[in-house]
Amino acid sequence: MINKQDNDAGQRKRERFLRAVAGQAANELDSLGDSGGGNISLEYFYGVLEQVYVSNELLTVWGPDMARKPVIGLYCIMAPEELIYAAGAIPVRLCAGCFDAAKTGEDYLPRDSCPLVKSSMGLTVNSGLKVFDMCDVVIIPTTCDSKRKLGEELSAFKEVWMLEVPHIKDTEHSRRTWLEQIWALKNRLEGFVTPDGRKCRRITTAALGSAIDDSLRAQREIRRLLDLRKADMPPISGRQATAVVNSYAYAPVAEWTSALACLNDSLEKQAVSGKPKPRIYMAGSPPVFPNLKIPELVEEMGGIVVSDESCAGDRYLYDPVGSAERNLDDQITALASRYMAPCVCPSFAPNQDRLYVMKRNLQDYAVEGVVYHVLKGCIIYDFEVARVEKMLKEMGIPMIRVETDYHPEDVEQLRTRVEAFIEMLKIKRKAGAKG
Amino acid sequence: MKRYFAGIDAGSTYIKVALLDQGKQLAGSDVGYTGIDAAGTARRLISGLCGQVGIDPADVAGIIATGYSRRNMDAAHDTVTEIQAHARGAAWSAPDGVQIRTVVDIGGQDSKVIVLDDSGNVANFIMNDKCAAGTGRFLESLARALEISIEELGPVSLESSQPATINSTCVVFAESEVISLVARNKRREDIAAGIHASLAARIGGMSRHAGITPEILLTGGGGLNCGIARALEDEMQADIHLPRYPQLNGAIGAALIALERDGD
Amino acid sequence: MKISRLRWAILAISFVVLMFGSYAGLRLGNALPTFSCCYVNTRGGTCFMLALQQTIGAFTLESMLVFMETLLLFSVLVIIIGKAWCGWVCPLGFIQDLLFTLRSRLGGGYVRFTESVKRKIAWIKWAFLTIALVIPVWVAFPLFCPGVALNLYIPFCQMCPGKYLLPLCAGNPDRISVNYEANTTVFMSVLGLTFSAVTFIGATVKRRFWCIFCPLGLIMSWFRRISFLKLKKEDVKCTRCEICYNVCPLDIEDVYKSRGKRDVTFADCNLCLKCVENCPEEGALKATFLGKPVYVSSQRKFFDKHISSCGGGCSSCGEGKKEEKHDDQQAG
Repeated sequence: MINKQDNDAGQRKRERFLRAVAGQAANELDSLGDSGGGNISLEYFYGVLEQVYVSNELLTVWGPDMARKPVIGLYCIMAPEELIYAAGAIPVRLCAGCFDAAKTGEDYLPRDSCPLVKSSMGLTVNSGLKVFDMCDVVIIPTTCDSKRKLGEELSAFKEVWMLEVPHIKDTEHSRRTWLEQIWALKNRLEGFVTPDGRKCRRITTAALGSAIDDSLRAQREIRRLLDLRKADMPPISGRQATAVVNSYAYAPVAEWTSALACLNDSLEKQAVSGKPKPRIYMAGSPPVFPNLKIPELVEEMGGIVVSDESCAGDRYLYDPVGSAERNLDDQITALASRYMAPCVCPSFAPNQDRLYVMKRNLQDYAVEGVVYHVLKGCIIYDFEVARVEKMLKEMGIPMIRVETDYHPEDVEQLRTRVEAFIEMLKIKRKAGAKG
Repeated sequence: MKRYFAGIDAGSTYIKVALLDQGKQLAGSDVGYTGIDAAGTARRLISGLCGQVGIDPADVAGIIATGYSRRNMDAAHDTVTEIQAHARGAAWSAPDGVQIRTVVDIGGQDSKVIVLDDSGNVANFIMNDKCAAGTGRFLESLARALEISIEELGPVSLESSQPATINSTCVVFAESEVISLVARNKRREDIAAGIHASLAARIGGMSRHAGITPEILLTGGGGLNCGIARALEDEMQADIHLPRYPQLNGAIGAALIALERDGD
Repeated sequence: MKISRLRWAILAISFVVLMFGSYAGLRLGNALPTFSCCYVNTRGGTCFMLALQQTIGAFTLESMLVFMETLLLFSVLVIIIGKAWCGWVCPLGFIQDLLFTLRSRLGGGYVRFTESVKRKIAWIKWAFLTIALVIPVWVAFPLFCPGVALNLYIPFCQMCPGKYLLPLCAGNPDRISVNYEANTTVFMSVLGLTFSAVTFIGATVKRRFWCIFCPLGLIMSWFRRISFLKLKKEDVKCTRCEICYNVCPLDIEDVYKSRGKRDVTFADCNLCLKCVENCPEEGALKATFLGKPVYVSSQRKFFDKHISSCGGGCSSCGEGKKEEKHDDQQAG
């Protein structure tokens, strides 16, 4: 009797939670839909996000595979997805942007910790969202403090494999250690069996080669998308592009790539009219669906986000895997290189490479202003504000630092700031055109 | 026939309107409580001003609204942020021959520091709209705690030679400090000066972040308070210039933008 | 045409020309900056190491003049294409590349030299160079142990893997033997055979194993600042993805690691241009001749090369995607 009551109460709690999560996601998707682009093929991507967060129905995304294969949850972009595909498992990235989940997460994690981590904690602890529940194991890299401790806290609720990422990238020692980690991950994956008997298979050269090829195709298409945004009048808004890339976290790679190829084809034919908008670069902590607050604000106030350095955005799929030979040793070496060497997350120190990547993007995309987004508690991105500001000053590009979390309450204040910044850019452009 | 341009600064407490002619002369200005119907108040104020110069409101060539409730101003043709408006207004409001590079605006509920480049365009800005520190609200609450009217607070503070120390910039904690200073029989003048010093410290912190560049203009309701100017001069170690119409700087700036855009 | 294919072709042609050139009456001189070994009877030209040691070993005014002349010609040849002689022409390089490729087709693993290993073995090429320069002086002026000195004519050539491996590849196995003429020659030939065996095995499991020890390569590396052919890098485009390091036969890290340098032609680099070929960033790396780019890294070519099978149709909207043409189906 008591158990049933508890169950009912638990069930109601779950439903309330899922309603809140679905509500935020649905609002965001509506808003994305309203932001235009009716004649370009974004349905697949919005569809994936809708299935994951709103309808909570993953079979449509993955098909019957989801019931047969082990599901591996990932955080950040350090664990090679190719290994997971080659092992016959399904990778899903769990970095989340749900405000309501973040509130729950605060019951378990410090209030001052990063909202992304709190959100992921909330979604894990409050079961109900299938993409989180169905993960048989979760791989967490030791990138930043919050992620590291999240790993420890989550292990009370899920099986967690920690992946030790060397924080100093450039030494022989770190290359060796990281390679060992990847080999260990490969072995661990091969031997993984879920309690109900779904298992991973041995990773062969052929399987891994095929998975790497799939990734490369996705990376090639993403580069096409990024190149299209270099145009004077980009055919797709930054927010839409971010939603497209965010959806990669939950979608099967081959299908996603096909959809992106279609999208790119339609974007190439897209004629864009109107006046060019101030071109903005989004720097700093990643906006992750459904929290696209800052890109939304920037574009609402008249700018267009032409490029970003978000690990859930333009940086996610940029670097390709280049193996010298088609054998397992080389493939694993190439994977290890790809996932660590070009990564410019500020969890690495030193992290001078980030400035080079940023500089290239600022030049290639003719960026007029930078919005540096710092999530409350994201101290590593905050640390790097000064050096980015310095570089931007030398390049003559204005910057505004915007600190926020997932709370919608500060949108008005942010709106004024962002609007003032965009006004500033418009005036600068006019003055530049006259002078 | 003369052409007129109007600016509406729709703050949360007061609505300020300014009417400029095409020669950038101030034809009229007014201030009114915002109230519940901000748009209505603005319309009323504009009508009043137009009446004074003998034109119909519909004949005003350009009306631009700024401030917190700018988007509600149906009387206006377009909006700009307060940052832009204050930046534009600074050159007009500045004393003759002074090139303003920093504008410190202390409003009822927010404060901002705007740094200008040498063409008078916005180069950087910092806003404080999250808490009452550094705003008019800070002074109002503490004046109440000290049992002086807000109009007296400034002049009284100027008579101090040894400002009391108020450590907290947060209005809630500062109030307790003021009360305890009163209980310890500190002079009113010194406490008043201490209140201004605390406000100036908050503004000073913000300014340094944005990069203080002389010359500095003090605008907003805060510009009406001579005590603030003195305290800011001590804090920032630079001259603080006061415009003739500190409260109107935003509205004047908006009107100037309407003028500049005329013909675009 | 893919650069790696071109390189194989040129290596093969050079091999034939240098190993069998005399059949066609070719006389390409004896200042060649490449291992066109003097022990190959049918060679088309001769490796500079011979002239170097011979002239110093004679140490007469006449021989020194010959040395200067040969050195001048040698320098000109090196200045024109730098160490690309090593990457594109050298017969010993060709053999090493063949052995390595054979292993990869058979499916074994391979090793790489890390920076610390390279630092530890760097002295060996200097030792070889010293032997090639100093011992001939002793041969010229045998003030002590003249009996030994007598048998140390062209000392480096006696221990060079080229002496044993190249004639073999030209069809002459006679050199694979210990020279029992004298104790000294026994010693030298055993040394030479050992180095050859080590090189043979080494090259199978490590790319261009010999090149890190090669004294001729060392001399050529001194010209890299003034060579016409260079490797250049554009910092802002480099993402430090490490791929160039992974494909580099000489395990050079500095190409991807360096910042602030435009010229990244390092001492070990044999200008095989595998790094440029495999660099995914448009324009990040390029080979230049007299400052003009002759081969530039390309994003499109990277993906074409590394994606081994053609992309399928675009399934979600039902339209078929154009099948992409590739030069070949394999990587590397």
